[in-house]
Amino acid sequence: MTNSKLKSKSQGNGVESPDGGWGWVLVVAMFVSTSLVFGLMRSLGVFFVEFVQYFEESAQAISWISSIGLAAQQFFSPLGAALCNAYNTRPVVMTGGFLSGLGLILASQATCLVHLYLTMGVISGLGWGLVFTPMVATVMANFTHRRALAVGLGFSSIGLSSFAFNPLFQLLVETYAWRGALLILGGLSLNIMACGALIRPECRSKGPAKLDSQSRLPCSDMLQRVSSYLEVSLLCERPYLTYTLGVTLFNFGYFVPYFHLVAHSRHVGFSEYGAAFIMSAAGVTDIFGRIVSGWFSDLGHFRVIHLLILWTVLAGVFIMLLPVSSLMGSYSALMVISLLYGFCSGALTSMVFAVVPMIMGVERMMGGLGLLQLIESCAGLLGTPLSGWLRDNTGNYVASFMVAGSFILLGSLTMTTLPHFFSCTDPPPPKRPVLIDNSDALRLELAQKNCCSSEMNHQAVEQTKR
Amino acid sequence: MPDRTCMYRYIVAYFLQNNKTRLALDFYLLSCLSVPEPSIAVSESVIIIPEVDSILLQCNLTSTYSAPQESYWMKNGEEILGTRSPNKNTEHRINRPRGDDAGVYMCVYNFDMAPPANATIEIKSAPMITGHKRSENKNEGDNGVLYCKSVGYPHPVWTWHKIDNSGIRDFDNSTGRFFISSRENYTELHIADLDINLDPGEYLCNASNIIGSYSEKSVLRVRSLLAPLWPLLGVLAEIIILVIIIVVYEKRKKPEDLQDGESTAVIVNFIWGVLVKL
Repeated sequence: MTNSKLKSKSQGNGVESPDGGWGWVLVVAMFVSTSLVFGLMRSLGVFFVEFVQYFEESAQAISWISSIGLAAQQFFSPLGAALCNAYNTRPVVMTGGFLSGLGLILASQATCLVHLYLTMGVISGLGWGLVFTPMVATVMANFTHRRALAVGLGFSSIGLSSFAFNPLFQLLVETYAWRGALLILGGLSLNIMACGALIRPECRSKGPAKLDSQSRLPCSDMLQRVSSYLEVSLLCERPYLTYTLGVTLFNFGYFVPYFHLVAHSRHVGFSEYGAAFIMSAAGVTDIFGRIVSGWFSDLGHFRVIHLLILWTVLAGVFIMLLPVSSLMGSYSALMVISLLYGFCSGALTSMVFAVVPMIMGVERMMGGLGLLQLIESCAGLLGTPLSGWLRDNTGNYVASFMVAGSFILLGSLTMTTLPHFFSCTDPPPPKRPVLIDNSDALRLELAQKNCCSSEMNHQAVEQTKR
Repeated sequence: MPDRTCMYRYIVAYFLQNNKTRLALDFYLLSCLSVPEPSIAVSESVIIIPEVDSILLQCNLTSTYSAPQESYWMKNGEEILGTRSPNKNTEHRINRPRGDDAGVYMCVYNFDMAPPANATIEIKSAPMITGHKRSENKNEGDNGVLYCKSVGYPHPVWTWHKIDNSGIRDFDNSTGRFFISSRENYTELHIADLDINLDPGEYLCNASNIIGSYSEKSVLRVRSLLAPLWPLLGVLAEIIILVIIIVVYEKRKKPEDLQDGESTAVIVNFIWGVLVKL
C-alpha cells in the first residue's frame, strides 16, 4: 500500500516528496559523521586522564576542553546553516570535516593547555558545527514519510559509537601515546569529508530568491541576505519561539542524568562497576529508543508533536523517579527506571528533530536548526552546573534530579501551547514570507529553471554522445 | 656467678698547694654495689615460612636488681604500640606472619635506678616482591624507570637481568645508559635515551638473601616516534580513494539520475514493506 503511493508520488515530481533511494545513502553518511562528531566528543574521557598526567593540571581545567568544543559546535551551527543556504551543502560539510580533522591533528602537537583549548576546542568545534546541522537538515529534507525513522537511525550512531570508541581510544592511547592517538583520530575525523562528498548538490531555490533587485544600498542588501540566510525572521514567529523555549527547557534537564547518574549510584552505595553498568544499560536502551520511536512515528497513527509530548512527559517522570527508586536501596529498581529513562530520552531526541519541519517548513529547516542549536546550547551549559550546585547545597542528588525532571515537564507544558496542538491532523507547514514583487519572482523562477535545465541539457547531450 | 656492675662515686676536692687552690677530681671506689646485670632469656630467632600460623616471641627477665618499671617491644627501632606492661616476663605474638613482619625485634626493660636493658630476636624471611611496574611504555629517546619493592629480612641483595631468546643474561652497560640504585627494600633501574632496537623486552629484578630469593618480570616497550604516521597515511589514502570514487560515480551516473533514484526507491520500499508486514 505504501509502495504504490510513494511510487506514484515520486513519478510525479521527484523533488517535492523524496523518500528513500539516495536518501538512505545520506542516512549512512549521517550515521558516520554524527558518530565522528558526538561519539568522538563523548569518548574523549580517555584522553583527559592522559592530559591530567602530562600537563599536570586539574581535572576541571582539562574538562574545559570538551565544554569549549561543545559550545563551539552549538555556537557555530547557525553559521553552518547560513553558509549552506548561501552556497551548497557539500562544500560546507567537507570544510567542516577538514577543520575538525585539522583541529585534532594540530592538537597532537600541543605543548600547553591553551593550545588544546584552541585546537581541540575552537577549531574542531567550528568544524563540528559546520557538519552536524547541515547533515541533519539534508537528511530530513530528503525524506517525508520516513523522516523520523531516518533521523532516528542517524542518531543511533551516537550511542553505538560511544560504546565502540571508548575501548578503541584506550587501545590507541596505549599503543601510540596520546599524541599519536590524536593524530590518528584527526585522520579518522577527515572521513567526514567523504560523507560530505555524498551530498549531491541540488538546484536550490534559496540562492536566487534572496536577491532583492531593487536599487538599495549594498550593505543593507548584504545585511538582508545574511539575515535571511540565518533565518532570523523565524525569531519573530510565535510557533518557532514557543518550540525553542520548550527545547531549551528540555536541555536544562536532559543532560543531568548523563553526568550525575553514576555519581548518584555510588553515593547510594552501589559498586563502581554496578554504577557504570547502569549507564551502559541506559545507553543501550537509548539507541533502541531512537530507532523505535522513529519507526513508530512514521507509521502515522499519531501526530509527531503528540508523540514528542508523550516521550518527554515519560522522560521527566522517570528522571524524578530515579532518586526515589534508589532511596529504597534496590539495585534492580534503579536499573529498571534507568532503562526506561534511557529509552524515553532516546525516543525524545528523534522526535525533537522530526517535529522541526512541521514548525518551520522544509525550506527553512537549515537555518531554523542552526538557531535552535545556538539557543539550546545556553541551557545545556547552565543545566549541569545548576544541578551540581544543588547537589553541593543539599548533600545528595535528589533535588537536582527533581529539578531536572520538572524542567522537562515544564518544557512539555510549553509545547502544548503550540498552535493547532489539539487538532488531530498536522497543519500545513508555514511558508517563508516572500519579500519580492511578482516580476522579480517570475525572473527568478526562469533563472532557476534555466540553471536546472541547463544542467539537464548538458547531461542529455553527454548521454546522446555515448 | 653473676656479673657485677660496680657503682662508682666521685668527689670533688680542693687542696692547697703552694698556697694556690687547686682542683682535683678523684674517683674513689666508695662502694661496689653488687648490681647484677640483668640477663634476659629470649626465645629463638624465627624464620617465617608459609606453614607457620603464629609466632610467639618471649623475653624472661632473670637475675635482676629490682623489678622492672615497665617493658615493651620494638620492631626495627620503632616501638610497637600497645605492648607496654609491668611484667618481668613479656611476650609478643604475631598471628599469620607475613613477609613484612620480618625484622629485628627487641624487648626493652626500663628500671627505676638502673639503665634499661634489652634483648633482640630476629625474625627472618625470604624476600617477597610486593610492588613492581608490570609494563612501561615510553617513547624513543625518553628515560625509562623500572622499580621493584620487597619485604623481608635480612634486606636482600638486588640484581637486574634482561631476558631474551637465549634466556636470562646480564645486560652489558657498554653504552653507559643503565643505572641501578638500590636501597634496603627498594631498587630502581634507570635507562637513559631509550633505543628502539636494543632496549625493548623483559627485565628481571631479583632479590635474594640468606633465606631465599624472589624475582619479578617487567616489560619495557619503546614506541617509535614515527609509528602513528603509518595508520594516519592509511586513513588519508582511504579517504581520498572514497572521495574520488564518489565524485566519479556521480559524474558518470548523472544522466541516469532520475531513473536510478526511482528504481532504488522501489527496491528499498519493497524491502521495508516486507519487513513492516513481518
